[in-house]
Amino acid sequence: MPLGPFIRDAAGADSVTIEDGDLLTGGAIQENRALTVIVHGGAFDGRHDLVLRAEAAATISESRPLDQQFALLNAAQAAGVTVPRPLWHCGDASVAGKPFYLMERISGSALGNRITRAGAQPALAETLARELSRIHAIQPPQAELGFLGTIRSTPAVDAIATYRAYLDEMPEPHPVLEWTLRWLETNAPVMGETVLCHRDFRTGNYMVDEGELTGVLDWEFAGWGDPHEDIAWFCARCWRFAGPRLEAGGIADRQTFYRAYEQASGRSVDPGLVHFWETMAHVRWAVIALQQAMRHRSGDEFSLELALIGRRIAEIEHECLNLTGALS
Amino acid sequence: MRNRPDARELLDAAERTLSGEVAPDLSNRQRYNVALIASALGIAGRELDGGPMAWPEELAALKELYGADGLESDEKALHRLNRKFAADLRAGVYDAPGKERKAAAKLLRGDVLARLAEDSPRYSK
Repeated sequence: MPLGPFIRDAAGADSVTIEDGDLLTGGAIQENRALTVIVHGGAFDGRHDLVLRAEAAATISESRPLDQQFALLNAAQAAGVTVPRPLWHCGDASVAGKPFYLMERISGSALGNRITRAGAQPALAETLARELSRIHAIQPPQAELGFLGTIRSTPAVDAIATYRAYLDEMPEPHPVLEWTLRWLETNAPVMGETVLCHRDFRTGNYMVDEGELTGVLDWEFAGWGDPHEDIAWFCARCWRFAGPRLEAGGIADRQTFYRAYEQASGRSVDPGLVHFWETMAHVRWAVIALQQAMRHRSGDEFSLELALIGRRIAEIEHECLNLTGALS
Repeated sequence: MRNRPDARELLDAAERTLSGEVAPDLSNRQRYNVALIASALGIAGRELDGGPMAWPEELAALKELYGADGLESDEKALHRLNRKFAADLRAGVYDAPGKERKAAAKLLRGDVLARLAEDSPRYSK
């Protein structure tokens, strides 16, 4: 069944016309295609600007399959998080060449450099902190999110084991990352609160239109974890783009972001735990970058963009040494 | 003896032509690709300048920690010793404060700073 009839049936419409769209930029891991659909009849009658999200040719190990991403997007929407409205998932590869889901297209730009070049935007940072508190209000158990599994030991100990296993798959040794993982191991916190972590909540992964948040994107890494993991990821040096001095995502100072999060969530932010998870954030980004570069190196997917991600490791490792006190 | 311009000069000329003359005439998407190509040329040029090792003292520092094997090529030794170093770091061999831990940190620092100079010379530390 082609895409048109699939949408017609899913939307309960009489007929559907598709205006083919463009491949959207962004998303080195996933393929996003803009699509305009005209639905005749049924609850969705009218014109819809949509995004079709499909898996790219090669993925990295952390990335969740599309049906799970779709379920996460639904859970986020139900929890009041500002997200592109998820519409329909299709696991049948014969419809569009591979499994996909459709969601509403939201306006604006997610480009980190563009957003951070606008300077300090405390109101946007506060909005994002409130969004994060809504994500973190989702706690286990959740029937629809059963695929998220359970935390084996603690989120920190689990993460260390995961990243070491990923490093063991790499052809070259990475002493700086081993140093940092050992630091994380010896400084690992005890079990804290368990919440739904987005795990890629950062500048570059939310859309902004004229200074206003229009949606939180990229749910493919979400899972159960410690709330400080997301706060640290948002503040990590590697995601500040053109605003390295504005420590909360290149758009505000940390206190602005922490305060808004504390007010909205009723939880207090522990700077020591943020420091721990920020160190973990850089190890994680380094490991993902190694995997991205490997997609190119392995011959699976020719891409200069992926190849160059492999040469971002020095920056990330520099921050690892900085955070573990090895630079001085 | 090779003719001039040498590899470095050719890479510079290619990067300048690409960024200065080709890029302004292109669509956004192609301009992004040109920025990627210019970045790749820049890294490759700096790597050529530096020779086979990002940090020439790296091998000496590793040999100071682990001793030398005179029969091995530098490249092979670098790989083997880094692997040993990485495994020891994971096993906690360098946990205890003291001379060895300081030497390990110094090695990591030298390595990262050398790669940073090649890969991201404009990164503000």
